[in-house]
Amino acid sequence: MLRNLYLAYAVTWAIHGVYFIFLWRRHVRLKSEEGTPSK
Amino acid sequence: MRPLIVLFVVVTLALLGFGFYQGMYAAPTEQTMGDIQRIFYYHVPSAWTAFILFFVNFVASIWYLMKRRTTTDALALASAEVGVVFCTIVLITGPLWAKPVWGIWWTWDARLTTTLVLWLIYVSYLILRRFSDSQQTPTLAAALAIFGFLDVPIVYMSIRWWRTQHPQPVIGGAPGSGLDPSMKFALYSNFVAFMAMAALIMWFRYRLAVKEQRLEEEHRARTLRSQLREVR
Repeated sequence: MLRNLYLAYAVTWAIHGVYFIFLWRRHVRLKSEEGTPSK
Repeated sequence: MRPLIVLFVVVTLALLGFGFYQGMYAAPTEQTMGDIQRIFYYHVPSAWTAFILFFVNFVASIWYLMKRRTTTDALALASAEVGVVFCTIVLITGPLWAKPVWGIWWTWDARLTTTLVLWLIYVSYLILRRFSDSQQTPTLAAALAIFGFLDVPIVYMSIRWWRTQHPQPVIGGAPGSGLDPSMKFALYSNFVAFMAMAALIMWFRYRLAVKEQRLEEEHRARTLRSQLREVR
């Protein structure tokens, strides 16, 4: 029974973690695109 | 600006830690369900936060249709995306709580079904924004968002209007319903913490959206210039 409680808390943080990584990667990609000189 | 953000991050992390402690340890154990009820302290604040983010998306969409400002469109996109993240958490923590308490993972009752529909509406909104190439995309997305938001009050009222497997409201419910003050404190602590975190993530996503708009605009201008050069 308690397994589901821990699972719920873990899943909550896993989703936020994955989303944050997704945002961070996008931030890095945009930063490199900003630095690319225009042709 | 940067020290302010760092301070906000520190405060948010402290609030999240405090909320976790309140939900897991400080709040009393519920009599009927036992410790599994502690999912409530993540499940309900996630739902409230998602509702608020969808409301921000609704207002930003109306504002965009009125003023056509790209920054408002970026705000609409950021709030919808972060709202979907919180709504996903609601849809996962709910069944994890339901299984040991009801004996089933899912049932097609009014609250659960309308919440799933809400999630699907905003996922379609994000898909539309991601894959549509037209310059009309922000307008179409804003129209979808305005109609999509109509589901939020239905989700909120579903447990008041219809008899559902989902429990009746403990906050703002019928006379006699309510929460123990220490449970209420744990609930509100987590709500404040989740709201702070949502504001932080949304700010980050908003800045990315503005940057993407600017890069796209530059790309469009470059393409136009090269086409003009070819014509000459």
